[in-house]
Amino acid sequence: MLLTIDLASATPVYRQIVDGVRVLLVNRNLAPGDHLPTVRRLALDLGVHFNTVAQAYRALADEGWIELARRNGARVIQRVMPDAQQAGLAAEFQRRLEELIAELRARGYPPSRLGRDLRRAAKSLEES
Amino acid sequence: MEPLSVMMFLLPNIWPLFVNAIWQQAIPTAMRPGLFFGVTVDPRFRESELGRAIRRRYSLVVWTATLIAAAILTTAVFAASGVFHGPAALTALVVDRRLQPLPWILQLAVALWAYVRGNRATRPHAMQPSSVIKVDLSAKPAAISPTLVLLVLPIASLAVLAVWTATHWRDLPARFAVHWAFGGPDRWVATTPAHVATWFSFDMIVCLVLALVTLGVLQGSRRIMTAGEAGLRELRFRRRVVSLLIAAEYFSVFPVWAGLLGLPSAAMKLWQLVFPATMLVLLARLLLVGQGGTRGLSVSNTVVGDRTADRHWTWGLLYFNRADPAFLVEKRFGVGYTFNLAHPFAWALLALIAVIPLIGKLL
Repeated sequence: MLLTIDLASATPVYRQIVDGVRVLLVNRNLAPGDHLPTVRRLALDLGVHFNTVAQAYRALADEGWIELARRNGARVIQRVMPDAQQAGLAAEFQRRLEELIAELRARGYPPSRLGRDLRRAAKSLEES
Repeated sequence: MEPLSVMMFLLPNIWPLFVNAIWQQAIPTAMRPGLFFGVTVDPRFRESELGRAIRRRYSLVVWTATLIAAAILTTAVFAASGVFHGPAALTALVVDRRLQPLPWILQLAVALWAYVRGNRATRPHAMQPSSVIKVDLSAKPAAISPTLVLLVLPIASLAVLAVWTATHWRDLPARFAVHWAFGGPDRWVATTPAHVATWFSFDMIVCLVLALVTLGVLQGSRRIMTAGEAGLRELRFRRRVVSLLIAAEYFSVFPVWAGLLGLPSAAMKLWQLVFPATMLVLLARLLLVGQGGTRGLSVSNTVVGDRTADRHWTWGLLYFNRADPAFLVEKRFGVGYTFNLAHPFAWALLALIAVIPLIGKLL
């Protein structure tokens, strides 16, 4: 159940924590009832300010994934899946996917490999 | 000085020099693979030709200093015992208690110089540690509650003794020992309220410092590896550090009990043997597993170091990083932890440590 953070990345650390934990949650590596490390523990291990981790945990709590417990702990809760038909979600997905593809291609990622990776992701989604 | 007393002086004064030399000799190979003389390097640098040459030079200097210090001490003891006529400055090394640590200080100073030379020779080969950190979210930190109970017990025992002392003042001996040499107590003070309070404060602060450092190791330091075999080994290493600190705390309260209850000197003699022997065993256990439990782990190609940047270290010995929430970090040369000098709590603890010898002077 590894959370990978790149301190040199242009993406802010708090955003990387949110994205990384969300991947673990969506893939069910983290299940309801599981505990996340305390804000203090995770900040120490990553070598970042406590507020950075606290901000990430608040964002995850706002999305309904976790509940923040006393003494900065966090527990994964059963999340009510929002309505997929809500306005703009499909458009946002399309926009972000195009942005990501453009960024990766601009950084030299081969289109053939990109296509292969997208197909693999699509297959994995269909199987889940 | 009689032949027996020559040995009685030499034995306790010579062996720390050699134990220290063995310790210093072992440190360069006990560090994390990605650190060499306080510098972040490729994990394979240590076993490179240059790495071996730096280690050889360092060991040579350490052992030369140790042998010189031991020779000075031995000559001084025989001169003081009248075997030959030596200069007063030499015999003073034995006669004057304040000068007795000089050979030891000489050895440490030369070893430090040898280390700084090694650090300078390694710096051109410094590498940037990887910016990618992997944290195992399921890795449980060491349990704090049982440790907390163990840490509080010695302090509580001092509190009990303080209450007993106040209620049994008339039963106390007229004077009590506050320092023990190899042959028995060598410093006594009169049993006055001021002396007893100072004696208690001294030990209470020692216990408090050890307890706070232990909590710091558990709660205020970074886990460099959390996943897999490396994570497990680091957790075990941390437990060993904690057991050493707890043992030191328990041993530290014994002299107060022995002094005020007037325990037979045989008890203190036993303490004088068991305490250093236990500490040596616990330190050797740390050395055997290496810093962070990394000894024997397969060397990876990734430059991890200790997840701190070289620019925050002075000579690889002093760490100062305001952005780091940890107040204790792994030593870069040595086994165990050192303070992040940018952390206010580290300074508070250092101030507390500085108070210990000052209180000792009052006794």
